[in-house]
Amino acid sequence: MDKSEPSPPLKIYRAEQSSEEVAPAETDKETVPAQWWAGEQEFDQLIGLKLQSTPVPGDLKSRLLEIPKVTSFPRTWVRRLLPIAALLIALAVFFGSWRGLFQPSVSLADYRAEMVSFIRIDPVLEMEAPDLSRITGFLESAGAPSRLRLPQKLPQVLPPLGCRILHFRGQHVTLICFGREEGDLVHLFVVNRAVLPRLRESDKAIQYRAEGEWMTATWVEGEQAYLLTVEGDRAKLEKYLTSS
Amino acid sequence: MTEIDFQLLVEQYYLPLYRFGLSLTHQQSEAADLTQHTFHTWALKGHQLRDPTKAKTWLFTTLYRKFLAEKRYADRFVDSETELLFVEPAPFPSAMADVLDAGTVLRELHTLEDRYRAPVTLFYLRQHSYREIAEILDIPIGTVMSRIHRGKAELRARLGGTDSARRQRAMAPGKEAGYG
Repeated sequence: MDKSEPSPPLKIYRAEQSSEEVAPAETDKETVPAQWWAGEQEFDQLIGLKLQSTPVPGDLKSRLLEIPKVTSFPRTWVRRLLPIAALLIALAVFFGSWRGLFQPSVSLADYRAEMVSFIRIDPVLEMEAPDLSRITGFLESAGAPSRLRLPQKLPQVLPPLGCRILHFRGQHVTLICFGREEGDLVHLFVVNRAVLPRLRESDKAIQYRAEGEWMTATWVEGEQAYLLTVEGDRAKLEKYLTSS
Repeated sequence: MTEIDFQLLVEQYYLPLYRFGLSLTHQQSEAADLTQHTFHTWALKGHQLRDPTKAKTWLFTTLYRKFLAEKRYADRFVDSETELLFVEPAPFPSAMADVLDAGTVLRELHTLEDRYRAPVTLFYLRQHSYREIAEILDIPIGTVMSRIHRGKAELRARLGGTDSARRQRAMAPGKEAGYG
C-alpha cells in the first residue's frame, strides 16, 4: 500500500475520489507544516528583536562597573596578599629555626630557678586529693606528665596533697605537693626531658643543688625530668630519695 | 581557573539580564536592582565558580533566584505539567509586526503566567540553550520546552488576537487536519 492509497477504513470516504483529488491534499499536508514553521520563525524573530530592543537605563552599565570598587574581592586580595603572607611565614619559619638552632639551650639551672621561684609564692593547687592515682588521673586528662616513676619512698612516706599544672617553655610541668610530717611541703616537678636538652637519659644520678634557701634534687627517668624541692638542707631530701 | 574580567562580563550580559529582570518584574527600577544585585553577588562570590564557561548561566540563575526570593513566588509555581499536548499556535497577522513595539511585547510577556514568563523570555533573549534555561530555572528540560511552547502560544494569541485567529481557522477548515 503506497501513500496515495487510503487505508481500509478511509476507503469508504475516498472510494469515489480520483488520484488527482487525493494528490492536492497530500501536497497541502506537506506545505502546511512548512508554512507554520516559517510563521513560527518569523514570530520568534520579531518578538526576539522587540525584546532585545527594550531600552535600558543609560546609567545602568556605569553603575554596574562601579561595583568592584565598592565590593571587597576576597580572591583578588587573597591573591595579592598571598605572596606577602608566604614571605612572612617563610621568614618566621626561617628565623624561628635560626633562633631555635642558635638559641642557648634551656639550662637545668634556669628550670630549677623558675620552678623554685614559683613555689616561693605558695601556689594554689588546682586539684587536691590525698590519693596519688586520682592526682595522676587528673593530670592525664589535662595532658600533663602523669605516668610517673617516683622513688619508692616518696609516696610511701609523704602523703600527696594535690597538684597543679605549670608551663615552662610551652610545655606542661606537673607539680605535685606532698605534706611533710613537720608541716612543710615537698614539691615534685615533672617535665618532658626534651625541654631540657642538656639533660640526657643517662643523667639518672640525682643532682642536688641549693636554690637560695631551697634544696633541689634533679634526675632523669625515661623521658621525664624530675625536680624535687624542699625548704631546707640536702638531708631533708635525701631521706626520700635514697633506697635505704 | 581563568579569571573572568568583570567589565567584560558586564558588557556581555547586563543587557539581557536587565531585560530578563524587566520581563519578570515589569518594573524598570526592580529590573535594574536585580541586575545590580546579580553583578554584586558575582563580585563577592563569582570567584567560587570553578567553570568559567558557566558564568552566563550563573548570572541568570542568580538573578532569577533573587527574583523568586524577593517575590516569594516559588511556592506559587505549579510543578505538574498537565499541558503537554501540542497547542496549535494562533496565526499571527503579519501586519501586527509593524505596530508592535518593545513595550507591548514586554507588557504581554508580563501578563503570561509566572511559569511561562521566565522560560519564554529566556528563549527570546536568544542567549541560552534549552539545557541552560533548564539549569537557570531549575526545572527539567522537557518542562522548559513545554512551557516555552505553551507560553509562546499564549503570547502569540495575546498579541495577534485569539478570536481573529479562530475566525481564520474556521474559514479554512481543510487546513485543520494538517497540523492539528
